Amino acid sequence: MFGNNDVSGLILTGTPNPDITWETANTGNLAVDAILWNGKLDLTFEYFKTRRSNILTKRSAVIPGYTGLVLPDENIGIVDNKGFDLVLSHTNNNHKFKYNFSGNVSFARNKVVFSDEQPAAEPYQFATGRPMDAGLYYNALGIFKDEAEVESYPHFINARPGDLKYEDVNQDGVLDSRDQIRINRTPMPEITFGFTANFSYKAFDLTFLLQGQENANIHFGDYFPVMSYSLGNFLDWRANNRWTPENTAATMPRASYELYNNNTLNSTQWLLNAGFLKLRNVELGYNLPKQLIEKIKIKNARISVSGNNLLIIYDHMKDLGFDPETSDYWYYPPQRIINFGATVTF
Amino acid sequence: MKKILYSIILLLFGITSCNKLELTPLDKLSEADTWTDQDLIQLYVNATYNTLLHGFQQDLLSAACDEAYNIHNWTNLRIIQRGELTADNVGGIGSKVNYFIFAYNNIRNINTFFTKIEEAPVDEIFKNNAIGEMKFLRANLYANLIWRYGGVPIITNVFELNDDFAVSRASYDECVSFIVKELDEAIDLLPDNQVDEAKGRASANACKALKARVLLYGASLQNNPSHEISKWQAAADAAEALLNAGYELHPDYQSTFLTDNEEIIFARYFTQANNTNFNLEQGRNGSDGYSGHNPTQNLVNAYEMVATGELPYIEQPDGSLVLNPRSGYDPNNPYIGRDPRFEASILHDGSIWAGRETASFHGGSDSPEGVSGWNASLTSYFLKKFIVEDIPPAGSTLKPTNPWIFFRYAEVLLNYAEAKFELGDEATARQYLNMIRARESVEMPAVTDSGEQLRKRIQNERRVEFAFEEHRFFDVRRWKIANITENKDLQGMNIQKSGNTKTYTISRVIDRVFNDANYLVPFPRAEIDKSIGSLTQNPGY
Repeated sequence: MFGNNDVSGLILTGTPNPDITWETANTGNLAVDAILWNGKLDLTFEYFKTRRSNILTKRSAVIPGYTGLVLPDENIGIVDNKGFDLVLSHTNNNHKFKYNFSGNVSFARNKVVFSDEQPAAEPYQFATGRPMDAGLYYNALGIFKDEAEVESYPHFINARPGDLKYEDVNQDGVLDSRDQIRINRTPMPEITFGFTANFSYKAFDLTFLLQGQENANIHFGDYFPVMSYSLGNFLDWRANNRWTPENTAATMPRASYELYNNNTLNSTQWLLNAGFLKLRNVELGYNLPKQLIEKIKIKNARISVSGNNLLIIYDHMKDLGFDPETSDYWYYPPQRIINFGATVTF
Repeated sequence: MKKILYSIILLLFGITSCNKLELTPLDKLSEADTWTDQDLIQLYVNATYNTLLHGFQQDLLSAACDEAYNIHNWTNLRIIQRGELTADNVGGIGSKVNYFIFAYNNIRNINTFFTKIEEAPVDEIFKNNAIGEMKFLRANLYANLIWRYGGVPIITNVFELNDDFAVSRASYDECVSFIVKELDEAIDLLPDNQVDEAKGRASANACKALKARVLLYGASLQNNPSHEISKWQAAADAAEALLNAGYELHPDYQSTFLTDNEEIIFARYFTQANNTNFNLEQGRNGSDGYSGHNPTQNLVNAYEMVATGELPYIEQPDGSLVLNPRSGYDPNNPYIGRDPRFEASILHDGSIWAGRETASFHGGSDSPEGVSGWNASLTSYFLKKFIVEDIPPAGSTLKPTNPWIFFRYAEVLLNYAEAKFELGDEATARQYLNMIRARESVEMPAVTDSGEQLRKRIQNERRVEFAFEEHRFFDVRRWKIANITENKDLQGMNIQKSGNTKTYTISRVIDRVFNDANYLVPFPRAEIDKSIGSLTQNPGY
């Protein structure tokens, strides 16, 4: 505001890049489709490999901040993506008891071929050669038992008993961001699989779907690591296994009033395996006998019951009390839904 | 139908066949258009005023030193208070402290202006004003850089993407010379004061005030360990230049910060449309405020007794506090008979404010056991300075619009007193120091000390007079006393009430830690890496 009036302003929003162009993708696919044993087995297999290059990204790792450049996107990134899909299905309609099974598994792994790397970063921190969005984490070795243990190993300023002990990876005697390691796992699963089955016998039918994923990890950072009372309640295992002066052989760091401390840094302590297999969906139906319903001028009548997210067959976070499909522990997981239905056609 | 289909196909080919994307955006102006239009250049200059970081934000620098504790840890200033600042975590702190990228992005924008303005078809008066304002704004960015980091690269060119980026840090003194030269040039281009429609724009006097502060900081122990007299002389001269410029101390200390008045040299003004949320952020929890900044007992102890001009406590060599028997301070009635600036700046238990008595004793409505206890002050104190009493923290459609003062006349007087003291002229130093104390609403007994004791009085006066005005963070560093003042517990007052009796116990809020490295702010580690050796890290990080 100048004088007695608000004035408007105009700002420079970025540095232009006159050479910007399209991203390119080279894709190769190899596929096999086969029907065997008179249609009893159906097989689809596909192998794919894609190289995307000229990906728009910023050279933020190499251009110093004192240049004041607000960096534009440049066509510099290269990423490879390869993997396969396999679908197998079996159908049998020749009996009164009819059934159909279908299983699928797919694997996809991407790899950064070129990314601008921060000069002086340790080789184990390079993003090149790793999956996209692979993050940097401190490697948690355990919990500092006592003052003597803190003193005997490189640690952060104000580290104290009950704090996470992070590995001094480059062994320079100082713990800093150079000791972060890049982990090849992201929340995006590399392997996904599913299994569907349909059965029918006379007027009854049953369908279910199993779904799962592997090679995915989720980092549960944010407020979870500190266990501060100001954030509400905490899970039992987090509280019971925490370091206290009496419980020095703990697996979880101390509770703290602070919302940020040495334990809240991104570390492998909070990087959890998000693999699971779930019974995603089941439906059981019954079609009412035609003779019965035609009398009351109804063509078709069906009653059914179905459920979603009924059962977790296995998951690596089960003991911790939360669902691998949540983004954070204090949000609701996917909800279990049970439907009862009746369909009538006149 | 077929025609439409063909044209769609043609259109698709049309887009894919060119190799570069050449589109003119409709919501943005191109740089080339900007520099040919005086109105647009004016808008560009206007926007650059946002580089002045005012204090009506969530993160007052007082929560990075010993003045206050921020219960919400807005912008992570507590990392500094705990002494945990590193090159890795500095990036997580707000730009008040992590100023580097903020400053250089804006410096580049200003440099762009300077490469274009000479050729721009604008009238001469406009051009000179714009150049003067931009020189002030750039000088202010550089000043704030060196106060945080020490010497920094001086960049006046506009880098493009494929340039050679290697630039090394200039020395602190080189930076000071550059800033002073720029300000001197701006002084010649700008009017002494900006009035009417131009009020709030940089004036020649604003440049002089910034210059005085830059030279004072530059002459101080941290940056002038050999006590070069010429630096103190330059600081004294720069302050002296504003002594008879028409400014006066505003009679009422408290309303100095609530009104536009004769003490203000340079300020940021606000309107209802462009207001601040300061009352909500600082208000008492008992009135639905967030009580962000909690003034510390450390600061409260710095307010002298009005009758004797003595501090309530005498600090022992080991840092402990012993009651000062000559002061007349009563620890059972700690808020009686204090320097009036205490009542004007800090709300304490028992203060009447907005029609209600502050109740921050344990169990009171403003205590952690009271209304929205998570928002309660942990020191029992709340901010009062700058706060407009009529506007409640919550539920008001009216928002505070009082100006944030960057430079006021009181600073000129204290800058002059300090420089004169360091030059050995103690009589003049006392005279100007006592002018501050003689303000109509303050009227503290005159200081008669000399020598080291007088230096301490000048430092304490600055602490009290400028509390929360974002001076102290820099003052304790340039005086090289932060290793003492910031290595003490941050304290609050624990007040228990039983019947009609209250008992007061000074209590620890956090263990404040200061390491020698913390005299300067570290550059983010990535910046050191990216510069490939041209930027050197500050010692100890």
